Amino acid sequence: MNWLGWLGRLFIGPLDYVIDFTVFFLQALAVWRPHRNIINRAVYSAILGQLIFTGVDAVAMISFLAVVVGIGVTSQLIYIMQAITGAGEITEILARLLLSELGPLITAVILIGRSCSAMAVDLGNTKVHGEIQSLEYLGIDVDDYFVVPRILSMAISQVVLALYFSIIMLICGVFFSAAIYHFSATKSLTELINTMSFNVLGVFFLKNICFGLVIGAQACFHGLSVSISPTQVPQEMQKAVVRSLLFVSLIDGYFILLSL
Amino acid sequence: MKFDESAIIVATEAVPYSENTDLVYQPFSCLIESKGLLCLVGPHRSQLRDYLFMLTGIYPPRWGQVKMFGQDTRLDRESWSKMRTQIGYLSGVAPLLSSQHGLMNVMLPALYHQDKSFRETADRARQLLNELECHFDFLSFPASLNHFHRLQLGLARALMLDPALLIFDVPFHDLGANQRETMANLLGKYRQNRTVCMIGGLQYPRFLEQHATQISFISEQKVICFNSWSAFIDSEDEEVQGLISGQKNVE
Repeated sequence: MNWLGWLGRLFIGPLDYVIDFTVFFLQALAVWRPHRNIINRAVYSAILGQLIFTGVDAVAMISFLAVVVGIGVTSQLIYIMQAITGAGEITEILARLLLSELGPLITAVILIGRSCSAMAVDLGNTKVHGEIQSLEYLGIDVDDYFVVPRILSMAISQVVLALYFSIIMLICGVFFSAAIYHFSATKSLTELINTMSFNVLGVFFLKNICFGLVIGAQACFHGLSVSISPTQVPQEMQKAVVRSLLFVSLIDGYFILLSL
Repeated sequence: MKFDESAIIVATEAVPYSENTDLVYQPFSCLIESKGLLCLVGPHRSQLRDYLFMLTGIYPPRWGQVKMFGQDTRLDRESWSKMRTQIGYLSGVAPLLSSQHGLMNVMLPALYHQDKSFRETADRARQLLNELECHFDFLSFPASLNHFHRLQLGLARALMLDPALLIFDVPFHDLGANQRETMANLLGKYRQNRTVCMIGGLQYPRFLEQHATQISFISEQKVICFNSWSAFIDSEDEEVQGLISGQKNVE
């Protein structure tokens, strides 16, 4: 019964992967126990370094894309919505589609392409060259020094950059559209701000935190999955990128279901 | 957890874990007193490294018992990490962290384990590097330094926490004759008040001649312990003689 074995492997494989990944993620976060010295200077400097690499260095690219997407997508959306429903519905559509969906998703895709891949390659190379092992022998915990700073900085960067991206995208889109279709940009933006309830913002932050945690954990999980061969580095990087995209889509789908 | 000054290792009929199934591992017993230097020698480097890592608590033994600082080496994650602060590790083959510059590599163990300021730690690292006669830019990344300079940084990193026990894993690997002599002088200087467990000593026999208090020959068939360099070279055992003459031929 080969097909039965094939079917079994088809289900057990992904399940195994999810369990391994979850255990890795929880074990990594477990190093931060209550009695741990939070101001560990080595970990602190690693977090700062990762924040600069993942967050600050990505600002230019995020800004450029926010302006382009804002002008392209937002203005198109405003044009279509004005033609169909009139100006009244625009703000809600903008809030739901752009702020809740497009902003976090595009930011996540940028971070996956830019930082997740780099992190996986960096960790993979560090591990394959034996650099991690000698630090372990000096009592430096891999999860503490390598994994948690990357996951944390990815989560913080995702939240901040998604917020920044959404704001720039909306401002550019609304002002560009206002100049073309002759409506009050400030009025539209004020209406938009008024639609922002605590719930909407809460979901926005929660979703972005989940995105960031998953992307960071995926990068570290696959980076550290490299064992002895350098050829595994690009393979694991590829897996980290594809599976991050998959997990981000699943999380996004879950939040969409919640908001319906 | 603070360990006392009389750092010792006691191994009782201990056999290490090994991924290498081709080799036979004999039980090993020894007692390393404070300020003693044990060098493991033998025909199989990977086998010696397995014994070294077992004796220094990096991995627990498969069978038998190993005690360091009076404690069994089978420890939970946190206690294990704390115990490592008393043990410096220098490897001639394991590289430094390539993403950090030399000074940061040296500072890293202290920043991680101690509650001292960044400036204080940097000052201590610079002082140590000057003592080790490092005449290069400390902010250079390991990739831009030569092997000897990287070894100097590795030694400084191992000494940063002022450990009671030092592990030397092939410290003379890939060094020229002059560099070996310089490295041997540095290692000799910093081992005076410390216990040392090492492999790769035969790459510079004069170091063992001057400092070794115990030499253990380990092969698949036997384990022989000698209490001095002269006892080791005077051994009539065929395998030991084979190793010594083989080493001379290499030299």
